[in-house]
Amino acid sequence: MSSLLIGTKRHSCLVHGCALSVLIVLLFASASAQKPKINPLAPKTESKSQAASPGSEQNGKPAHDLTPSDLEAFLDGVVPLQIAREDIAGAVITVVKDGKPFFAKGYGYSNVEKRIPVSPDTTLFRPGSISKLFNWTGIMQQVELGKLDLDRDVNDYLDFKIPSTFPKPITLRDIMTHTPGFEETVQELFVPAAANLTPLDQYVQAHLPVRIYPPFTTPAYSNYATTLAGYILQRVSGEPFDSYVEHHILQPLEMSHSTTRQPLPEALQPLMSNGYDVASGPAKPFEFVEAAPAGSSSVTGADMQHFMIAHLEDGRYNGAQILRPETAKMMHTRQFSNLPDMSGMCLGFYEETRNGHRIIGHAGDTQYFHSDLHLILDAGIGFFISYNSAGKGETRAREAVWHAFLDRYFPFEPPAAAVQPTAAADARLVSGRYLISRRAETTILKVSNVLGETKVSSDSDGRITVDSIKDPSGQPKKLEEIGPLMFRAVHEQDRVGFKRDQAGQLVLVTDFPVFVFQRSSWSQDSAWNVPLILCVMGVLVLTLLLWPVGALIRRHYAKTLNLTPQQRRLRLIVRLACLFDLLFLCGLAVFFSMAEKDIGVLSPRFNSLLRIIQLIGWLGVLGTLAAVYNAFLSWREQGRWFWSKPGDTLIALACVAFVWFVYTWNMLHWSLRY
Amino acid sequence: MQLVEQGKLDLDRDINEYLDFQVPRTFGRPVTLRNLMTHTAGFEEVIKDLSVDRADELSSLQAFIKAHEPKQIYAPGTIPAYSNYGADLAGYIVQRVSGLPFEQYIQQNIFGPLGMTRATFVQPLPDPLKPMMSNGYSVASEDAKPFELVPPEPAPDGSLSVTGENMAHFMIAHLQNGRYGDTRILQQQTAEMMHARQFGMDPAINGMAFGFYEESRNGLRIIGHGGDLNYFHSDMHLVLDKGLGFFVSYNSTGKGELDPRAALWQEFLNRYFPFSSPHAEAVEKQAVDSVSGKYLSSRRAQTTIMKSLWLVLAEPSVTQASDGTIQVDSMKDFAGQTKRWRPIGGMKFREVGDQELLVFKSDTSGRIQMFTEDPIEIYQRVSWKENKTVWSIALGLVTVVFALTLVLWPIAALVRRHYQRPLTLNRLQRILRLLVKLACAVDLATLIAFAAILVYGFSNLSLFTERLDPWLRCLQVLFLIGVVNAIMMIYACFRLWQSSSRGIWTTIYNATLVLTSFLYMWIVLSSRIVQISLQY
Repeated sequence: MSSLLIGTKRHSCLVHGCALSVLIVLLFASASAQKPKINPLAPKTESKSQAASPGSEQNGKPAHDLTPSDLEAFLDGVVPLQIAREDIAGAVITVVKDGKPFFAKGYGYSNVEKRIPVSPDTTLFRPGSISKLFNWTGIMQQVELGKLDLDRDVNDYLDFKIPSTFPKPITLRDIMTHTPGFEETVQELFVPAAANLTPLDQYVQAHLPVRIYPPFTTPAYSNYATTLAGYILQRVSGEPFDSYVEHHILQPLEMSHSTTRQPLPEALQPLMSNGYDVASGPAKPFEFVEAAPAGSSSVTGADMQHFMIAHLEDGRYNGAQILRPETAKMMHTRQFSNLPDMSGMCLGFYEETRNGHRIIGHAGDTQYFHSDLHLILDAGIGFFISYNSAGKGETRAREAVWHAFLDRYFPFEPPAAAVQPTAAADARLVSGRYLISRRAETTILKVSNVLGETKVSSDSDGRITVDSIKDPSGQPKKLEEIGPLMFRAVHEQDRVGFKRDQAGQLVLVTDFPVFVFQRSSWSQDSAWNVPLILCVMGVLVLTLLLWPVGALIRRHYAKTLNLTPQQRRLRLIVRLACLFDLLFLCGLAVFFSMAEKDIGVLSPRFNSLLRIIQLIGWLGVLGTLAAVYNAFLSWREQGRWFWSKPGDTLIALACVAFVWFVYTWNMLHWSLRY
Repeated sequence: MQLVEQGKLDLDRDINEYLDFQVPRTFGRPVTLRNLMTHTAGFEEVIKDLSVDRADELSSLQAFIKAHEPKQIYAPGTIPAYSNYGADLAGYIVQRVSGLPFEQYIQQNIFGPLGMTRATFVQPLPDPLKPMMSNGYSVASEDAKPFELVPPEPAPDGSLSVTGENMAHFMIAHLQNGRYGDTRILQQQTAEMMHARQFGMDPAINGMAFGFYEESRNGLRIIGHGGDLNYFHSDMHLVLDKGLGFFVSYNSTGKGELDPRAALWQEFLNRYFPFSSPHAEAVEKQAVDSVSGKYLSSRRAQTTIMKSLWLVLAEPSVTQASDGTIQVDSMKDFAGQTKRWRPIGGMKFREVGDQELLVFKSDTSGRIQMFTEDPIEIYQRVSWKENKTVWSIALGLVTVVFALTLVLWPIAALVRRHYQRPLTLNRLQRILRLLVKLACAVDLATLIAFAAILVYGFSNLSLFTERLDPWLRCLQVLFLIGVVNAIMMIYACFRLWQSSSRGIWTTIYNATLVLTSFLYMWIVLSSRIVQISLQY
């Protein structure tokens, strides 16, 4: 009975139409949407902390034998439809097992227009932050040579000085566990053209971020620190970074189609896959990563097999030994953890233990390429996947494939656990808003925090949901308390734990160890900050809209405002202040949405634009004085229209709230380093 | 077809000969079983009583058939328009001619011989099958829904409950042209006839077999049938020349971002029967211009009170891109991108990068028709009177003008009070003015109420039963009052304009109200919402 053709789908169009409206909402939506992309070199929060198990219904069923033909049939069933529905142009997947290449296949196109298929052997992908592993491996080679000490102050290796904000100096061990405590910096992570690339020494000196955490206390994934390590590698080895990687990693591993150089050497250029936002859109130009050691490489899926084999075989590949076994083992050993029970940091690699296996790996994102690398150490299996398009983002593509792979070949039933008697009270205790530790704290980017807070809520059954932890269909997972302040998704293995930091504040810990989430302070809680700024904008918009409307009505009734020239001037200034406030907020929203479309906007070249926006903001802040004075006058002076009192007061309050907001979120911060 | 084999039915005879009531010869031609089986009986779409909440609300097949007969809007055998009623009618004929209740006939002659022990048309389910029934869901993360009851009882158009394994028996029987193991449910030639193409709008694209429809793809001739309840969504495909049958059923509607049935089936075909689409031919720009516009499905309500729904919500729009390709906004790829179609000559278009065709052809009256690879309906280009954009603008304008009139009424009063400028109107003007405001309120409320019923009803189809009739009657009365209101408003506006200062704003406002009133009348009258019949 094909009876419902005009049913559900069509009337939902109506609902949709209603939802698209207010400009403010749109502006804010775009500003908040840029959040994930603003840190593109890093693995995304969502993609990791939200573990999903598409195959959880397989629990209790026997594992499938991992054979190349079974794996191919399995991936052929998953990947082509996935990339079709996500509007992704192409993907490559390679797997190694027992020290040998096991599987390699390309899906879709490296060039949609010319219909060039992806080849695992000859199509180049940009693995983004997975490139860091080359850097880290190089560092460990220098440690073996005795040229570097993981526990020495990195200032000893530098030609400039990192300030001693905290008593404890920053070491390479801190950097490799992402605990040096730097705040986030995104300016010039990517540049638009090869001509804009600057040498490493200039980059690391120009973008030195503020230290916001004492070393080895709080993980906050840092592209800057990784680049700093690359610079150190270059200095102590005496070879430029790109040459070092080439001579000591890529060549011994016979990775002949791989390089960290930008632009690509000519021989490799024709092999490079296009990058896409969506496959149905235009191809994007080659991406230039200014923070090169953090993510500049270009590789084939097959070459990555060599690298995975070298690490799985404790440094050995095909006769070459790039690391001594004990060094490789140390690299793969846990060095830092947020909670002992949950995945922690190794040296460069992070743990992503799942389905009962200890797994280490690293994800990588450029704007268009999205990749992941996993090593199941105890099974001798390595898995590399890379997509050449961002896609629509409805599903978390990498994670879906990887979890389905694990559930097929390593099925897992989470052990039974009793729900804690304290569940309901603890659920209430941990409810609230949390800020990611990897964040801008002192720069103008701080405002992005207000739009990106993680929200923990509890229900009456003592279960919690974390708004960023969703199942593959986008529903927030329900987590129940199975240990003291340790919550686990119902029927699943994903966990969220809570601890207290030294100040006694709650810290939310996920199985993605490169950052944690810290309870928002009262003043920075988005629960009231966001409604506040929306109300402010509402008052400002109404004030400005009613200005000409009032004038027209007065004209209609041939009435004029009975104001002295001084009052008239003040009134004009107040309205201009409202206009400036609004222009400033919209201007910044526009800037962020530009940055979302093209991360190259985050560059000093756009500082003048930011300065103009800030100038408007300053004018708005000054205008607040006029608004407050005006409100004062309207209460004091006799004979003014009754309703002008609350009206002027409301405007003054909105202006004051604007100033508070702008101040709290550093939006007029003098320095344009961010 | 079994009864045809036995000579008890003739596919080309007037079905009235098998019925205890008369289907009118609206177009001077009788409706035949061949028409019913190819969905070309010409019935318009009806949605009343598609779903009920309680088993005691299920009417019998006989009563249902007689109470729900839709109008014929196409001459039999000319235009395909998928009809659930037509399928029920055929089931009723099976019941009458065989002398057995429908469900019993199917049990004895199909399920029995095919060993389909876990299949039934009976609702609610017989006790032994109840524990095996899958829950239905809108989405898996929400609560399970109750067992869906499909009126009547039994419903030949869709009350079947069945296991996947049992469907395999049925597919085998058809793939082997009627034979299943040692038994036979159809003779070889009957089955072959059933699977052969019987009706099509254009030889280049899929047509109707008997009951089955063609869904040829990847160079293979395929027949099949999809099926949807509120929560269960299924498909069955027979690749005849490969001897292959494929059945899939989902127990949830899902989020609807992807059509999982189509995706699964097409990926299956692409893996095991790969097919590369023919190379693109030169673009003929000329042919393209003439097909742009809004189209309406042949499967629609044309004369019932639901007519406006199709006009407002269900009109695919064909547009032409600068490179000569066309797009149909309702036809999307798996990524949700609107597909592009390249002209390949003869008013035919092929999907860019894939294989499906669109064919355009004028009917005898010169109206352009669009045929897709889905042969159970066609699309007919609409004139401005049925154009979705015209309707949306008209509805939008009416709503905005009426709503603004009401919202600004107290605001203007406050402003006047502030400036101490009362309206200088005489008693008649005052009354007229009040009447205009009241008319706006009533008309707006009526429109909103109708929209609310439709929106709610299409997510809860069991709303559309006779219990809704009194409310619909009220609504019709309100709409009638609305039309009277509109006439009154036109008069009042004219009088008010005449007697007032005739300032430019007064003129514009009154003219707008007059225009809106005309629009409102036009909407009410041409949407056929006000009519005696509550068959819809």
